[in-house]
Amino acid sequence: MLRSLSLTARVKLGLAAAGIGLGVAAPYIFDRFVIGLISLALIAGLFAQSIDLLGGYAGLITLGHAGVSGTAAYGVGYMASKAGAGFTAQIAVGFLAGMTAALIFGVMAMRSDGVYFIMVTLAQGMIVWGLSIRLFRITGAENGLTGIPRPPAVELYWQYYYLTLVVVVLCWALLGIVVNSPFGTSLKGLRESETRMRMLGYNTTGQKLYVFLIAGFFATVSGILLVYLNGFISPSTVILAASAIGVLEAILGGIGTLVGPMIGAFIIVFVQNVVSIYVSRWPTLMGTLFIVVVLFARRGLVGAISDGWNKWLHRNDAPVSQEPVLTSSNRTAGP
Amino acid sequence: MRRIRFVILISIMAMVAAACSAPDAGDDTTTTAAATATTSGSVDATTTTAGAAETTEAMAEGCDEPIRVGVLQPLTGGLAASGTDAKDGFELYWANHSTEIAGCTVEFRVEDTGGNPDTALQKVDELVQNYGAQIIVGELLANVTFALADRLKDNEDVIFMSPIGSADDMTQRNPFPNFIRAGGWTSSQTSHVLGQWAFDNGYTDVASMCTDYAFGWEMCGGFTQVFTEAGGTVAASEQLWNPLGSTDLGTYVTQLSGFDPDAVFVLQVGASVSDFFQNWSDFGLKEQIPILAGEVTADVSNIRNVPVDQVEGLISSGHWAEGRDAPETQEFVELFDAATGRLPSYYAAATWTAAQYIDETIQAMNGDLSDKAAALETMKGLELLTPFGPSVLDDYGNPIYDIYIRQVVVRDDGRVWNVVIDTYNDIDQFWPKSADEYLQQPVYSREFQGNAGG
Amino acid sequence: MTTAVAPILHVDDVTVRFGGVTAVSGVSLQVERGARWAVIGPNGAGKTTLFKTISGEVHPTTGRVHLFGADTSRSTPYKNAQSGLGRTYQVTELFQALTVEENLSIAAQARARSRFACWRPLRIKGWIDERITSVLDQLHLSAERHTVVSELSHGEQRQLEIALALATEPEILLLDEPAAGLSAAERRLMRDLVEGLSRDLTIVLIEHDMEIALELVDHVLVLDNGQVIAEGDPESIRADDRVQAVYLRSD
Ligand SMILES: Nc1ncnc2c1ncn2[C@@H]1O[C@H](COP(=O)(O)OP(=O)(O)O)[C@@H](O)[C@H]1O
Ligand SMILES: [Mg+2]
Repeated sequence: MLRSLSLTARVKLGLAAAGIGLGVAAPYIFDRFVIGLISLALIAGLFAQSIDLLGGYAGLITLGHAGVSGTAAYGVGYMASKAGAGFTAQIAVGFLAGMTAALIFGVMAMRSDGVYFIMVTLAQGMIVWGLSIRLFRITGAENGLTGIPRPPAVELYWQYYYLTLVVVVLCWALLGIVVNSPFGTSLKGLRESETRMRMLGYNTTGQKLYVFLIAGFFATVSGILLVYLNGFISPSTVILAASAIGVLEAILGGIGTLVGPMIGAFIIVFVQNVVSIYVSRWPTLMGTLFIVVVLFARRGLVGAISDGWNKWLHRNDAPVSQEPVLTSSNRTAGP
Repeated sequence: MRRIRFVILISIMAMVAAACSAPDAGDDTTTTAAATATTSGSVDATTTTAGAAETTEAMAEGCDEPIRVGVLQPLTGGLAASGTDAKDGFELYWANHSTEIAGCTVEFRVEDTGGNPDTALQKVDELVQNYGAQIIVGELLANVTFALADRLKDNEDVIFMSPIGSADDMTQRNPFPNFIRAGGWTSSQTSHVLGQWAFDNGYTDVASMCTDYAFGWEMCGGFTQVFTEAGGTVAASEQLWNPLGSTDLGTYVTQLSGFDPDAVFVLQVGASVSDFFQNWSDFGLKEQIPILAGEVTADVSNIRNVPVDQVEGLISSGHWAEGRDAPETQEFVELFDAATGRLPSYYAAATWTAAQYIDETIQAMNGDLSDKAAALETMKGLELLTPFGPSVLDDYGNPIYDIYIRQVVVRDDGRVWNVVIDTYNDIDQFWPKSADEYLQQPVYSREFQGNAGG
Repeated sequence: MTTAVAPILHVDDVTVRFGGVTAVSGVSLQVERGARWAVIGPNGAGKTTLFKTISGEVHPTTGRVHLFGADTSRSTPYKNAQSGLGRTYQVTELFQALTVEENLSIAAQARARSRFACWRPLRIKGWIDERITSVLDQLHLSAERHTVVSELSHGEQRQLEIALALATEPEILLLDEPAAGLSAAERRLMRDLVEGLSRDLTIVLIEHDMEIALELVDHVLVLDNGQVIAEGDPESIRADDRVQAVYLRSD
């Protein structure tokens, strides 16, 4: 069975297996600090993947996505810390809050594209942030909400890590199905030409709302995972930078892929939390890394690696000859 | 079209990146000392080596292990300047005091939070679990301080000191067992006094303009409640709230002048401070309506960025007054100025004082901090003379200080600072009420300003 | 009222103004099912605008458009496409980063319920595969099935333009200058391709090149400055002095 696969597919499969193996073994290898970081990176990665579903696949770049995940997190936080509700109610309200935000934002944004889409989502993120510092009875203003314990079964750091790992891998798989589905393929069409999509018979407005809701679902999951990881939620989770870093992670790793945003998230989380212990100019380092990627690897690290890999695979091939075209003068302009 | 999108995206990213790497107050020491300062990190290179040598020399008998302190401050991002002041204050203390105490060595490490709770929570795990910190000295943002307090609350092996983060409820309605505000303050504590002072000095009708977030509500509420309960008036319609981070305050300033008040209570932070004073003087109001400023607005870290003529004479209240004429204050001010070239802000005074509390507690416990509950009790029992003046702690772990009415004056060297023009002695966080009475009321918010006039 | 004899497309005294510019002025036409029409005229005559009005991309300022017997004057492109309208673009409008197959599978599913399915992988099997294969065959693109569109030659991209529209199985097809930017040899190829399309398909063709246009159709509409200056079968158009004058002027 394995033999029928191409070398590339086998390497990918091997890497995935190694990744999951390492993920399972991690608590036996690393200390609590590193496990906490991996948990955070997995959650950030899921968040970035959900941004990439919009930006990388559908061409809808959002700068307000933390408004969705943050609203879900606040839903959980409010139920835990202010309403004193049980875990089922906390999570249910978290989902409801996140998906309601996604629905409202989706309806607001579905008629715009390009720069306007960026601007609308930016404004949405700012609204959530504004509410988070104003509605102190619900959000605790910038003091935030404390007293959000984890469910007893996943109370310990390594238990919660495993929960996070399972949920994130599951979501990753689901996202994989979505992007390879008929709908996922049509998202790429939306990214490439909305005009054409409409003319083919796609209701692109509805398509945008639909993908916004799907992305909102995964953002909601990441927000709920985050609030239980930290046991805390405050306006920092919904500031512009939180959304922008998600976009940055996707670009760094490689947009239009699912593994890219995850890699980007691991890099940024580790730079922010580990490299910053040793290098005080870590934001400069991060900025430089980002600029280098944008300038020299437009498709992010994953793009660069896969290009390198393909080059290596075909190192012995003859130079690729251009397919003969119909005629050579076919680029002359019309009459 | 897609190219435009790309360019816009990149410029936004660049802005974010630039904001993240805001310059840190223009001194190189911060960058080099920031990260891995182990033993006694310090303010300039020469003392670093001296301090290090000193600690390796004498490994104490009383302790098998050094007593480790983890310091978490925002050293990058928008709050880098304040966080750096805080770091420098802490390091300066240990550069001028022995880290050998009662046979034990004190070590500390300063970590950057970037002002972000996610990062702070990761770093505090690192400091407690890997570095072995027994004391954490925490952040300046309310949300980060809350996040850390919540994370550390069940850890009986750690004391969490918050000399800067001042959210009222942390020592009032939402206390944490191992949390102590030695060297710190509550936001409304200093405003209470300004309310009383304003009434005592003949103001009867005051308007306010505060930043619309919890710190602004608490600062403003402290003033409003005491002032109106004393007999003054703050009409609810004359309380203006501007969004956090706004830098176009002209319309608010026009509105304020329209109220024609006796004075205006003002609480602004960050970039809004200089914008406010610019507008205030552009509209020619400086000579017409006196400003009573909340502590942070008139802090030296803010007013040094404002043209001198716009702030000279500004009245405010505070637990910190760098121009206070007392040896315990001026020794610190001169040391800090010599080391950094800046007059110390309350951030710097706070962490210096936290270090002083750590020092004195270790001495009082004779080097044995194993029982953290006992150490907390000991710390609460200390009576210290700090750069703030005399300091004791109340039952909730919040300091009882002398609170100063301050005025901005220009020093001989041309720099501005706050000198003391009046002092209210022994002010706790509930003054002038009792704790029991005070805790009946909700925490200050935009809706609840304690306004006796309704 | 829809009757069995209603024309598939009826443009009724349509005027389109953009601010001060009148792009289409009082144009009427009735296309019967299975007919082949050409709209010709010099650059800027209003041909593309007329197409956009029919497709729903632009709404007429005055006048009405009826498609398949229903008033579609205020309809949208996607609704018109769903009811069986296909349209190609004068300036190539393809999914450049995707393969030919992906392009066509998006088009093939455009009118199927499965376009909403996000819970199962896209499998290019069964009817989708058949349709893609047949369209590729028809347009001589079979060899390029797995090529990324941006790597196709301009001529192939023009062919794919038509393939995309055909993959939705339209009943009426609007072709906006399919030979735009092609060399003489390629134009002949394109001419043959259009000629070979199913006779069941109603076609309206915009073509700047009068010769090609007249060979392909049985009815011609000539626009100049947004106005119809002539209408009729190819023979009468060829003989029309005003048409000759317009074409001489523009060349
Ligand atoms: N969106 C628009 N806004 C303003 N003017 C337009 C617009 N679209 C087309 N026009 C004008 O309408 C006229 C007809 O254009 P068009 O229909 O593209 O002509 P053709 O396809 O016959 O070359 C031209 O003068 C053109 O400049
Ligand atoms: Mg045209």
